This record gives sequence, structure tokens and C-alpha cells, in this order.
Amino acid sequence: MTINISGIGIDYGAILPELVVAGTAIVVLFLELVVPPDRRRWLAAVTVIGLLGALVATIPLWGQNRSAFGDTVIADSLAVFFNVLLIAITIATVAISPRYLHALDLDYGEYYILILGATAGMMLLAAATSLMTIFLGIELLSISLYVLSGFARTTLRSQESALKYLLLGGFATGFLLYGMALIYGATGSTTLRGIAAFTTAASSNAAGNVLLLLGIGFLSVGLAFKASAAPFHMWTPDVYEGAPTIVTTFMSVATKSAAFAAVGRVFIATFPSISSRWYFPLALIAIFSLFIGNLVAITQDNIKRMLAYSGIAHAGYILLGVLPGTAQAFSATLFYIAAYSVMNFGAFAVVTAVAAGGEQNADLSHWRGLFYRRPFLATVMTIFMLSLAGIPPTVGFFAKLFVFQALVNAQIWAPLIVAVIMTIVSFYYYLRVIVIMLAAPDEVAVEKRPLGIPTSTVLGVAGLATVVLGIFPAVVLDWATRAASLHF
Amino acid sequence: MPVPAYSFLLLSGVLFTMGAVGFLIRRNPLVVFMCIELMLNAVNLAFVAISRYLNSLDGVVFAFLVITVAAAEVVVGIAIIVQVYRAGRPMDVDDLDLMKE
Repeated sequence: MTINISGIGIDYGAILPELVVAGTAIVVLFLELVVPPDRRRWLAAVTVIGLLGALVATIPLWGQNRSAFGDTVIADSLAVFFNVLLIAITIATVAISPRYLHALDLDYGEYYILILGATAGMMLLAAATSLMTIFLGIELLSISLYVLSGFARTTLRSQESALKYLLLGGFATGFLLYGMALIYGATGSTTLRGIAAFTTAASSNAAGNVLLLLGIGFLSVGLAFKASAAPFHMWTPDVYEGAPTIVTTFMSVATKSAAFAAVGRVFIATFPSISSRWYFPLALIAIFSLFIGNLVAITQDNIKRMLAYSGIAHAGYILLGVLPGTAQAFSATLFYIAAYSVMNFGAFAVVTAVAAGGEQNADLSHWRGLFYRRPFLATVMTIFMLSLAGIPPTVGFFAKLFVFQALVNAQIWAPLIVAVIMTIVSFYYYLRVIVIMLAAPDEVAVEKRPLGIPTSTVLGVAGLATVVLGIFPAVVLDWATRAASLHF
Repeated sequence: MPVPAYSFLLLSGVLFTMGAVGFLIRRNPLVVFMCIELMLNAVNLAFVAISRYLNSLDGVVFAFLVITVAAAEVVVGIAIIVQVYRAGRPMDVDDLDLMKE
């Protein structure tokens, strides 16, 4: 259904998934008032139902190319790919939330509203084709996450992580916006379609336009911050460590995915004609991320910090797939994002389950002998660690393989060599976790704190998916390839 | 005599730099937060000036969006800062270092 008001192209069908998620947030907001405090679990159920509704709304948009609201958003396969991924992540997060929140006495309805708000922002960001919608998406997800990282209100670390995220996030937003203002000044347009038309026009000499290049530089800083790529990663370890683990689980995968959707749309779809200008800085960011992420992760004794640095390293790998600047290479990036989401979510979900006994349990010394105390948790954690390291037959192996293949095809050697060496370095800290879990415990006592059906299911599915997709990666790769054909 | 567009951009650049430098050297979280607001307002000035210069409304609309979002950010930001203050922590970003490797 398209109603045209003076050519603006109002098309609510194109943003129906985002509307359903935002609508669910409003419904939960009102339900929170009437649901008795000991029945807050119902809010989680309503949230999941709303998210399933959004999933149903997003599927029919696959394969379409529906630009709406004056070229500010689009419903295409790329948006659907990310919508499905983000909704799946959010459903899994909400499923494992009630038990954790209850254990830490954080069982408030606002949690679900904020998670839904962040998800709506991420979905908007994945569908954004204008500087305005990119900004709105980023801010919607950021502001929700600022509050969520401080959600354990009385915990000093949680407060501190919220304050750090807020201040550094605001700083990055300033750069992002200034970049957008400069791009607008240079090209006279705020839509990616208009900007691309300007840069490809022969008369514009876009590659020599200082205002435009400066703008792209500032914009990249803002996006790299959200994707937590080095050297704009400083907030990541502190925020990941201090935030409630369930929030870390959510934002470590969802924020990164959404940020890379925007990176793809901006760099590959909008600025291909001046790729010679952005190739080198992006390659540098990727190499920095690989070095800092992998090398600093070795020294970490807190598993949340270790996974934070590992996430920085993975941002580097994901960015490598953007470098060739082609849709085929971008499909490797998409596959990597999907693989990373599954395995990193799983790893953090295990940390969440362990941390339900107290946040101090994120210290690696507590993980000693986990195999004997919590055999199931330790087994799935082993799968996720092997996958993050990139050892076959897990999905992490193919994710790295496809990205490396794309680099070989594009004859990009230096970043490839760094990536291969750093992958070998990463074996140390991933395998170390497995060794620690296998080490003989001081006292053998099987813990009788049950996981609950939702958590076991989510962990089981994530573990199974990590292995099954590692044996049959073709299905997801096919989706990624079809989603990677970028439109404006 | 109309003021040329580049002088607005220059002013916006100066304000933005002041905000960024203030962010890096000031230590009170409230002042640091005000520096971020200064950066955002520098951006607004640039948007409006460019909008006027290009004779297009996109920049003005963008400036309104920035104002709205900045307001939302302030609401959340002040709440977080007050929460830290009420916990009896020093109002100094350098002393907020519970998490160090």
C-alpha cells in the first residue's frame, strides 16, 4: 500500500517490522503498570510474541527493493537479513533474561522496553539509506544501551560503565554528526542515493573534494566506534565488564551487526567511485583491531574483558570483507556477522548463566574445573571457543575462510597476512578457557542450580547451529550472497 | 552586507574544536557532558548554515532531529551522572576506574 503525498513515498509496509517492534515496546510499557511484580515473566512472553510478529512482517520483504519515505529507508534483502538476525538475537536474549534478572534482583519491566527500543534502532539502522535515518538508528540504539548498561543501578561498576559509555558514545556521536554535516555541505544531499549520484558524476571530482573526504573520515570514526573497531574501542572492555552480563551479551553481537550494515551501505554502496580514498584508512582500522584485540585478549583474566577484546578482533575480521568493495566480498562479511552472532552470543550466554550466581563469577579463576561442576555449560562453551578461534568443523572456520578467500580474490595481501598470523595468536586465549575448564577442581561438587528450560534451549540451539553450520555453511552463505546485492 | 557561508562554517569548526578539546581535558562529568552538547550545537550551526547556503531544507530538518535527540540524551545522561553522584563517588572522570586490566 503506497500513499504518495507530493512524491514523499509514504509506505508503512516497508518499515512494518520496525513499527511492530516499537509498538511492542509501547504495549509492554503499559502492561508493566498492571502486571504484578512477581509476574514480570509475562512481559518477557509479550516481548517474544511481538518480536515473532516482527519476524513474520519482515520475511515478505525479502527480494524486494522498496525505497520509502523520500529515500530515507529501504526494504531490501540486506535489511531483511539483518532484521532476521537481530530479531533472533533479541528473542534469544529475552528468553534467557528472566532467570538472570531475577537472580540479580533486577527484575524490572523497563528492561524489556529498552531492549525493544534498542532493537528497533538497530533494525532502522540496517534499513537506513539516508544520513538522517542512520543517525536516528544509531542514537535510538545507543540511548537505550546507555540505560541498559547502567541497569544494575546500585552496582558501582554498572553505573561506571553506563557513564563511560554515555560520555564516549556522545563524543563519537559528535564526530559522526560533524561528518554528516560536512558530507551534506559537499554533496548538497542527505540521502545516500543523492550522495552517490554526486560522487559518481564526472564533473564533481569527488576524490579531490576535501570537505567530502573529511566528512567521510568523521563519519567512519562514529561508525567504527559503534562497531568497536580499534583505535576507537577504548570504551568496549570497561562497558562490557561493568554492564550486567545479559546486556553485554545483547550488545556485543547486536550493535556490531547493525553497525556493519551501515558500513556496507555507506562504503560499498554509496562511495564505490572513491574507494581508493577510503581503502587505506579502513585497512588500517582493520589491522589495528586485529592486533589490539588479539594481543590484549591474551592478558585478560576476566572472561568478559577477554571476550570484549576478542570482539574487537572480530570487528577487524568483519571489516576485512568490506575492503575489496565488491558485493561478493561483502557476502563474506555478512556470513561472518551471522556466524559471529551465533558463536559470540552463545559464549556470552554461558557467561550469563555462570554469572547468575554472582557477577564476580566472570573471573576466569572461577571457571576452573567447570567441566566437572557444570558439564553442559562447559561443553557448549568449548564449542563456542573452538568456533571463535576458527577451528573446523565449526561455523567460525568457514567465516574466516570466506573472508580470507575474498581477500585472495581481490589480491589484498598485507591485511590477509596479519589476519592469518593473528588467528594463530587467538588460539592461545580461546583454548586457554577450555584448558581452565578442564583443569582438576579444588573440590568436586556438581552444582544443583538448574539452568531452566529457556536457557538450556537457547544454548543448545546456538551450540548445535555452530556445529551444523560448520558442516553445511552453504545455506547461510547463499542467503548472504543474495542479501549482499546492495541498493540505495 | 550578508555574512558569507564560510564564516559560519569557520565558527562551527571553532566551537566543535572547543567542545572536543574540553571533552579531553575537563574532568567533571557534567562539564564533559556539556562539552558534548557544545559539539552537537556546533554541528547544528553547520547544518543550518549549509542549508541556507544550498537553499535546501534538509539541513534544517537535520538540525531539528539533532536537537530532539540531544534532549533525549541529556535526560538519560543527567540521570546516569546523578546516580553516580548519589553513590558517593567523586565527580571526576579520572577517578572512575574500578575496571582496569
